[in-house]
Amino acid sequence: MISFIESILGTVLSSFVIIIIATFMALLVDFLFPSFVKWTRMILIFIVVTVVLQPAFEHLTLIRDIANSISMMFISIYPILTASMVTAGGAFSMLNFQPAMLLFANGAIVLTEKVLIPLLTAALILDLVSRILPAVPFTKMADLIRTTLLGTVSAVVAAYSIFITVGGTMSWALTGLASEPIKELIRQNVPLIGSFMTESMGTIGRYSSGASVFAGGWLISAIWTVALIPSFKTLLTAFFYRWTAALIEPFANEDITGILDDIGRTLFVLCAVSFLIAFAFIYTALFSIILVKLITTMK
Amino acid sequence: MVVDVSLMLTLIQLIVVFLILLLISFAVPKLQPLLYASIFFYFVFHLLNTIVFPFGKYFVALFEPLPDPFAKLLIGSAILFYVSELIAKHIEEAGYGSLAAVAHFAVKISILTLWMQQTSALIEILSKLIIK
Repeated sequence: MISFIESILGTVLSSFVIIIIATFMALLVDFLFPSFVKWTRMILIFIVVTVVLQPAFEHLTLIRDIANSISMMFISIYPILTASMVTAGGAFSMLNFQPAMLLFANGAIVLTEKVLIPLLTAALILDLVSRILPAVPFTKMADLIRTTLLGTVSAVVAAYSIFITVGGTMSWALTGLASEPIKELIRQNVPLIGSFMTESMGTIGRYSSGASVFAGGWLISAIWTVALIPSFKTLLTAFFYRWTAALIEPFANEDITGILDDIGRTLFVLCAVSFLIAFAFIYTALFSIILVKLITTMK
Repeated sequence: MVVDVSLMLTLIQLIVVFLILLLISFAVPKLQPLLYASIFFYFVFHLLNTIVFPFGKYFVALFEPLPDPFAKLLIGSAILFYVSELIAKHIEEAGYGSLAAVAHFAVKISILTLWMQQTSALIEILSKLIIK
């Protein structure tokens, strides 16, 4: 946990230092060669794209790869799961494990892989284009894509909570006095996706506390950690980008801070998207564990 | 530092050069363009050697923490562009405007080729996002 925070801090902070030095260099060159202003701006954008945005691009490809592998996993595991569900018989009725929800969870993954992440990439590239060529701005388009994505993800998560609460057997153990301040804190402080995060956390928590009867608390927390680490990493990186943008705003070119800010916002949406993946992963993992347990105890 | 020491000297040299040029235009007006050009080029190269190149090296060393080619590339192409512009202006003053334009254009293209590798890296990074 600590080591990966350190590594993110390392990459993002070093790129932050690089931006500051590069801005200073650009200031010097602008002073010496006033006719070179366009070039210095261009080289700043070069540095930003090839060095500073590398962590953001890595996260995008990371989430894309995870989505891809999980959807492959689902496609390979689904026949086995359904077959064993048929053999397990009525044991599932007490658990509120609708097969439809499994399908839904993994349908969300396929949606993520095929639609949401390519759209997010498009938003990122539109942002870059509108900063590199200010004459052809696509900022509204990028914003539109981001808000649409966020809306889609929120709708999917809302559908999840409907699925889970319809059965009525699950109740979130964490609700109550202890968790409300934390939820409020997250909602207030994480821009764009704060309330979405608390909602989806609540949904997953409600679900897994029902399942912990069968799977055991440690196993569930292990699954949670594995599933949420990519999301958490993405969130942290997004924060670092926005902080960097805020810190260098007084002396950097407006384009550069704008790029960093936009990338931060895109990463927040990416984090929201990765919550969908995490959710489906948690659901499938718990489902398989409980299935195995049921089958072994029934015999 | 190199720049500090030679700066005063260079300024005095500049005044001397200016006086010599005035003297030439008064004494031998027919030879003035030739002598002006030779003195100009001599002075430019002298300046490059004593001030601009040491400063360029110093600048590159100063921005060493930046990823490798960028500082070198920026200051190199800026100096190249500036010198080319200077010489082109001089040629244009002598009355050969088209020659100056062609020379400047060629230097611009060579600067662009210096940047080509970085540009292709940028394009590759961006296209890696799309293709897959």
